[in-house]
Amino acid sequence: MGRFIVRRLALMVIALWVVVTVTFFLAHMIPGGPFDREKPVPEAIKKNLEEKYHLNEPMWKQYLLYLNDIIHGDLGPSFKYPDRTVNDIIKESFPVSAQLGFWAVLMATFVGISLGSVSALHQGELIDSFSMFFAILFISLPSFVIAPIFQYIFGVKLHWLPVANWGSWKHMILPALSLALGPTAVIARLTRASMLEVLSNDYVKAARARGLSGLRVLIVYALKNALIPVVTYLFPLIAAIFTGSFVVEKIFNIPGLGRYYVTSIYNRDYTVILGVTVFYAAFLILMNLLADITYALLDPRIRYE
Amino acid sequence: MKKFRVFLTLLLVFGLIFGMFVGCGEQKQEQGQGQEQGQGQEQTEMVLRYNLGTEPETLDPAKATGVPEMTVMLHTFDGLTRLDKDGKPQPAVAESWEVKNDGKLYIFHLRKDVKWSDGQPVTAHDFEFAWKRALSPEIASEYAYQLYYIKNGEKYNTGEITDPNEVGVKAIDDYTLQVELEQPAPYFLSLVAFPTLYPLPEHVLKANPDWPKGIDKDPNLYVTNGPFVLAEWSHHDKLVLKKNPNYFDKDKVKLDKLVFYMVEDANTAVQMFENEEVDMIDNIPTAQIDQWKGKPEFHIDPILGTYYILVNVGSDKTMGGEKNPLQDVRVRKAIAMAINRSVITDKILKAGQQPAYAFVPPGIPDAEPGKDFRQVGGNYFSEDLQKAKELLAEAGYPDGKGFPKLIYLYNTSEGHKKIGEAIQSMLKENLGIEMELQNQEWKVYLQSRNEGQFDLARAGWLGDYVDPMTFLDMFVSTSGNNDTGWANPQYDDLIEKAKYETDNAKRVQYMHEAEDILMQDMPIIPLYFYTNPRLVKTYVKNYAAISLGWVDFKEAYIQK
Repeated sequence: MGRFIVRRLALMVIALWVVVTVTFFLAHMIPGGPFDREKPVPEAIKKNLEEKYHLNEPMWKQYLLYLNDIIHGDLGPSFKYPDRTVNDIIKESFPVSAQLGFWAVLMATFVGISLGSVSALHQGELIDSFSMFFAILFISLPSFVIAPIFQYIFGVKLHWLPVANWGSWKHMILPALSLALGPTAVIARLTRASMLEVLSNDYVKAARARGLSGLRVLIVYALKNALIPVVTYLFPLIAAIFTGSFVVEKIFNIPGLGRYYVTSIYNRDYTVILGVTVFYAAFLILMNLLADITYALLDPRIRYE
Repeated sequence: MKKFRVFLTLLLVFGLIFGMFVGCGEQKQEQGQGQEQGQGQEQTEMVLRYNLGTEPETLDPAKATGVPEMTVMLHTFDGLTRLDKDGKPQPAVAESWEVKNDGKLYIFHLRKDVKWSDGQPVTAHDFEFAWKRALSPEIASEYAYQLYYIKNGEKYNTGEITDPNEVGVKAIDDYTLQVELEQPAPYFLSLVAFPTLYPLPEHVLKANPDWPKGIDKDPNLYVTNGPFVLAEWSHHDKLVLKKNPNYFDKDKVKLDKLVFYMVEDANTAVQMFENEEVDMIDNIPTAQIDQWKGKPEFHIDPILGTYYILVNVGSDKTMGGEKNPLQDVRVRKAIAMAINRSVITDKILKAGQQPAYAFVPPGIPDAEPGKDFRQVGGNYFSEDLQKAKELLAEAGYPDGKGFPKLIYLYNTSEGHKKIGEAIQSMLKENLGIEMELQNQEWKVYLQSRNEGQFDLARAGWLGDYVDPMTFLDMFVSTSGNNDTGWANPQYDDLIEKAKYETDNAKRVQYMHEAEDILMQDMPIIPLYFYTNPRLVKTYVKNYAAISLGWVDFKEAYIQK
């Protein structure tokens, strides 16, 4: 296991290098540059700006300069926000997205697994159709539809919760809910499907035959094996949700990391594009590694040698 | 034993993740409590909440370029002058001034009671320092050209001269500032109210050359001289200003706190407004304008701006080698006359925009006091279908026969798309001209425009200062904004003459004549003049909406 992890971490470095290289050249290939404005900056000022950010150097040199910086943990200054560095931006905004993502994932996992298990136990009954109907509904409804509806109902009409912004726990409920609904539905359906398969296994039947209670059979015997597909889904989900959602963060005006994936490209803010992409890639790779480790813990048949 | 292991595994995984973030969770809770306490205090404090619409890129006056940045700094700084409600410069840090040498030499006398927020006096040296800093190539200020009016300003900025002492700004003593200009600029007194020309605390910047880096972590580092000082800046969330106790004119400042939100989603902003979370917002989605019209919260504030079509009169890049029919002025006029502007303003935009039959928008004073430049200049053409058809036929395309398909370029946005579609159907119906809509993301659009990869392109311009020049100098042949390929030496000459003219009446006359030529040749087709629709709670009083897009809350107050 230890060797497996070390090997995976080494592969991660190579993967990140590929990500940096591809993103670097793709970002610079997009037409337009960070200092293009409707009123074009006078040539002399543009020259001053480009010198300041080394944009006047040949591409390979810029690439080497960037590689050198990133090896030293320096993701560079932002072009759009000249008084902030990319390290600052990630340091400030990632905890916000992660906090929101944590509650969303927690909710999605517990509600999703419970709903899925209950549906599986009561296959074909009313409660099953009911929860699966909502699962389909929430999988199909994108967050940019759900979020404004929530704002309107719970904010404008009922005045229970703030419409947007960040600060107290109250500000977190609506965005966390909007983020969680889709994954909840997916997890519920995954759990239901794999639970149905597991429940038809002999060992579950045997446990039942011995007179163990339904709940006990479910939690102690069935759930563990039924969770493997959920784990496959859960860890990449954590990577995606913890690093922020552009749509939800924009609608609820949350100062998270999500906005930068999109706005940095609009702004041609090369260092931010690279910074957030590399950060997301690293996080995703780590989560996938964590998923593999969890498989091994859940299923003794899985061994990494 | 087995179930125990499963339990442990799950516990471990969740515990790990939770442990990673429990720290920030606690931190946030504290902040939340702090805010609730803050809300309790707000009952006694006078607080105004305004949506800036986006995160300010920087609060360094030399580097800032956009309206959100200007809006914040308008409250944290005072320049030599300050614009009033009507956009006229009023004395601020300068209490009086002398204009000498045919308008090429300004001597400003500064108030002696103006202090920085750290208690140090604001002196003429702070202006000299700030202006030279903004011009220095190392700062690479994008708005440095606002200082090109000053003698040797451009040369120093472009590296032609390296000695900052040759730049025409000099503190004669602590409270007298002398400014030499390259050429007379009648709007110079408005220009010194512009952020790029704000003073900066030399003593602070000398000690901390990276200023204003770090003001988000320690707001006290942001030493300013305006009605408010920075209290909190949480990026993409909110920026809080509080009343400056050291401000020389503090008796006029009634608000204790100004909260700027950075809500980018226009629908969210409206819902916040309805839910009493914000007191004033700009940028109302067009779909919602009808429902607010007639309500006391709905305001249409003026803004100096024109929405127009750029016509590519030069290249035939998109025509595949064919002759470009847009080179014929009759074709351009036919298109201008065949567009029904009131459909665009009344059916699509709905916020009181005026159809435009000239380029310079209303709201700019003419030479004679009390008269408006637009009013004096009048309309240059009218919508006339019959005439349009005749012109097109004269140009050799009766009923649009043989006319190649045009490409209409716009930057991706629902609003621009609707206007493009309206024009598309009008041209097809009225003139038989086929047009293809092409949308591009903003920076790609800018590049296509610049390279002439279009036939018609939507464009808009908002004035930088209250003078026709901010619009007219865009279309001289050397201007970076002139993407039309149009060049008229007579036009260039008139603009040049207007820039050097000391007699204001003559200067304005030159600009009228220049606009005559622009509208005669029609390399651009004006569509409408912008407005600035806003939602403002009825208890917000005495704010000044400046036609350059900013709102000044210096003397605003709340009366519930």
